[in-house]
Amino acid sequence: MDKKFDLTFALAGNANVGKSVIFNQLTGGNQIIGNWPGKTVEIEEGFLETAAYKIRVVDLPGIYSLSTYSEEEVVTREFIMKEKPDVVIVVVDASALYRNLFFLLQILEMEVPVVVALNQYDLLEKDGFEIDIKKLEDLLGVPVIKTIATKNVGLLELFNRAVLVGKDRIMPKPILYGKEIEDRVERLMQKIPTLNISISKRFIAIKLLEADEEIEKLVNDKSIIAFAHKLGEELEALHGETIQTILIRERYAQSLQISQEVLKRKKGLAKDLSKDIDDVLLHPVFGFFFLILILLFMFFVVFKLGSFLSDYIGSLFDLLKTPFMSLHIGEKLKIFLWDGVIEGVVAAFGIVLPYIAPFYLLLSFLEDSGYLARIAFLTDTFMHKLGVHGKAFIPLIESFGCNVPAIMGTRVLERRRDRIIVSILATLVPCSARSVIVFGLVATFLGPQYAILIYALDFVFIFLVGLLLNRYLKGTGAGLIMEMPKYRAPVLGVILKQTGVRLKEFFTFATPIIVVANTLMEGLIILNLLPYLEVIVKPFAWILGLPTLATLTLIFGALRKELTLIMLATFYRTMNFSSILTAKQIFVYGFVTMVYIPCVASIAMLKREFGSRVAILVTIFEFVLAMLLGGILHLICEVIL
Amino acid sequence: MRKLLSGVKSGKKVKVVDFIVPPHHGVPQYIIRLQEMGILRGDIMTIERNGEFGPVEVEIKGTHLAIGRGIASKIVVEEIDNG
Repeated sequence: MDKKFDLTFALAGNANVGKSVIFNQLTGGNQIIGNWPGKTVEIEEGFLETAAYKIRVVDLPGIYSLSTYSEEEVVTREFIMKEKPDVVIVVVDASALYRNLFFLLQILEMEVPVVVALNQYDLLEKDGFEIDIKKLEDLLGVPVIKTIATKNVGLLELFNRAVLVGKDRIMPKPILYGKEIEDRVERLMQKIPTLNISISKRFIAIKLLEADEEIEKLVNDKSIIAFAHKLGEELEALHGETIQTILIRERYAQSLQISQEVLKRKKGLAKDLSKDIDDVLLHPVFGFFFLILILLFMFFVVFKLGSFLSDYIGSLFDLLKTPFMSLHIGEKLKIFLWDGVIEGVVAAFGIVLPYIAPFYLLLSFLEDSGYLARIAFLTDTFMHKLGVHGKAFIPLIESFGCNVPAIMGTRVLERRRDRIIVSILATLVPCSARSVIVFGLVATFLGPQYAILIYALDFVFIFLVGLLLNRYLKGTGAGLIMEMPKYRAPVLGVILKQTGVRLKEFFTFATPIIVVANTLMEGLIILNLLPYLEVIVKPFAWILGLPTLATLTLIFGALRKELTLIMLATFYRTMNFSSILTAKQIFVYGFVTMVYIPCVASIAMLKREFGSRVAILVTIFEFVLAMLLGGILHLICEVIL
Repeated sequence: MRKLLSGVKSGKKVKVVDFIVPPHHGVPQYIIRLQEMGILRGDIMTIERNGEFGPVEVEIKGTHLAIGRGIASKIVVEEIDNG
C-alpha cells in the first residue's frame, strides 16, 4: 500500500477562536493571526509533513454563518463544496460554546467529515467551567479534542484524529431539527435528483428551504425551487417568522440544548477584568484620550526606533558600496546596477523596513490584546460620517506604516463600496515614507509646528474626501455588528510570527515593484530623458509655484514617496533645502508630496483588489485634487500671507 | 415598556421584541446578520454599555456584541424588571 496519504484539512470557525494560531502551529506559519473579527479573509495554505503523511492545511475565513451575505461566507461554502477537503476541522471557542455551536451545526449540515477543536479551553476553565467532552462527542457524532493552541496543547491529538477521520472519510450523522422542518426537508430531498454535484442532499434541501440563491442556481430546476418555496411558506405561516429566521432560531435552540447538557460549572465565576478595563478605555471622554495617547506613543516609538535602525542599515549598505564600485565591470553598468537595482533594495530594507517592522509589531500587539475592536467601537460614530463603520478605522491606522497592506486590510469591511472609500482614504494617510519626508524637510527647515500643521491639513483633507465619497458613491454603508473579544495578554511568539507574515506580504508584493520602478528611473536618467519630462511638469510647477526641477522630483515620488527628497538632493546637489526652496515653497511641496498620488505599489494593490478602472480613476482623482489644493495653498501663501 | 435598544440605559436587561423593517424591501441584511449573531425575538440580553453616542454593547448568548447606533435604533426591546 502507498505509504503517503495526501489529505487536505480545512480550518473553519468564527473569528477570534484561535483558528489562525492552530494553522500556524500546524504548518509553521504563513498567516496573520488576528483577534480582529473577520481578519482572516484570504484563504491561506500551508503544508505539514510527517513520516507517513503529507497534509495540506487550508485556513478558511473567520465567519459566523454559512449564508451568503458576505464574500467570506461564500468562499467558505464554495471551498467545502468544490474542493471537498478530507476533513473540516471546526475550531470552536470553548468559552463561547453556545454561539460557536451555531456555526458548527451549519458545517455539520453539509455532511462532510468533521473534527472539532475545542480551543481556548484555558479561558473556559478560567471562567470556572468545564465541558463533558465524551457527551459532546456523543451529541455531535464527531470527534472533539480539547486544545489550547497558543500553548500548543492538544494539537498533536487533533492532528492524529483528523488523519483517522480523513483517511476513512468518517461522516457525521445529521443533527435533526424540529419535526415540522425535518418533514419538509425529507420531502424536498426526495425531489432532488442525484445531481452531478456530490454535495449532501440534506444540505441542498435545507438551503433550498431557506431560499438560498446560490443553491437555487446550482439546482436550476424551477419546479423543485417552487416546491421549496411552497414548503417554506408553510413553515412561515406556522411560525409567523421568515423562513431564514425560523432556521436560525432552530439552530440556536439546538446549540443551547447541547451546550447546556455538556457545560458544567466547576467553581464560582472568576471575574473577567474586561468590563472594568472597558469602563476606562471605552469611556466617552477618557476612551478617546487613551486612544490618542496610545496612538501617539506608538508613532513616537516607531519613529525613534525607525530613524535609528534606518541610519544603521544605511551605513551598512554604504560599506558595501566601495567594494562594489571597484568591481571590474563597465562603469555605466555599475552605476546603473547600484543606483537602480541595489538602491531599490536598500530603500526597501533601509528606509521602509526600519519603520514598518516596529510599527507592525506594535499593531500586532494591539490586535492580539483585543484593543483594535475597542478602537472600532470608539470611532464608529465618527466613521459613519464618512459612510463606513468603526472597523474601517483599523486599515487607516495600518496606513501610517504603509498604504499597501492597508488597502488589503480593508477586507475587514463587508461591502465593496465601503472598501473603496477606505482604500482611497488610506492612500491619503501619510505612510512612514511620507512621514520621513515631512520630518526631513518641513520639520527640519521650517520647524515641527509646520510639520504638525501639514499633518492636520492632511487629516482635514482626508475627512473632506471621505464626506465627498460618501455623498457621491452609490449605496449606503453597512452598520456595525461586531463581536467584542475579551482582553487577552498577547503571546510574544504569536506576535512575532504575525509581524513576520505582514512583513513578508509587504516584501513579496512591494519590493519587486520598488526595484523595477527604481531601475526604470535610473534608465530615464541614463538615457537623458529628463529634459523632456521637465517640459511636461512645467505647467504643474507654475500651478504649485515651485521650481521646475523640484516639481520633477514629484514624478519620482510616484515610484516611491521618499524618492522626492532623495531626488531633490540629487538634482540640486545639496541637502540644505532652504537654499533652493523658500519657506512657502517647502510648505507647499511638503503638503503636495503627502497627497498627490498613490505610489506605484499602492496603485498595483488597488488594481489587484478593485480592478484597473478603480485604480486609474483613484490615481487621476487624487492627482487633480492635489494639484488643485496645492495651487490654492500656493495662492494663499503668496497672495494673502 | 417598549423602547428602542439605542434608548436603553447601561446595566438594564431587555427582551428583544421586534425589528423595525422598512416596508416593501424584504428583510434587510443587517437584520439577518443580527439574528445570525444570536439576537432573535424573545431573547434576553443585558446592555453592557450605552452612552450618549457610539455603539451599544450588549451581552447575549455568552458573548459581547457591539451594535452600531443606527442598527440599535431598529431593535425594539422591552425592559425587564429588577434588571
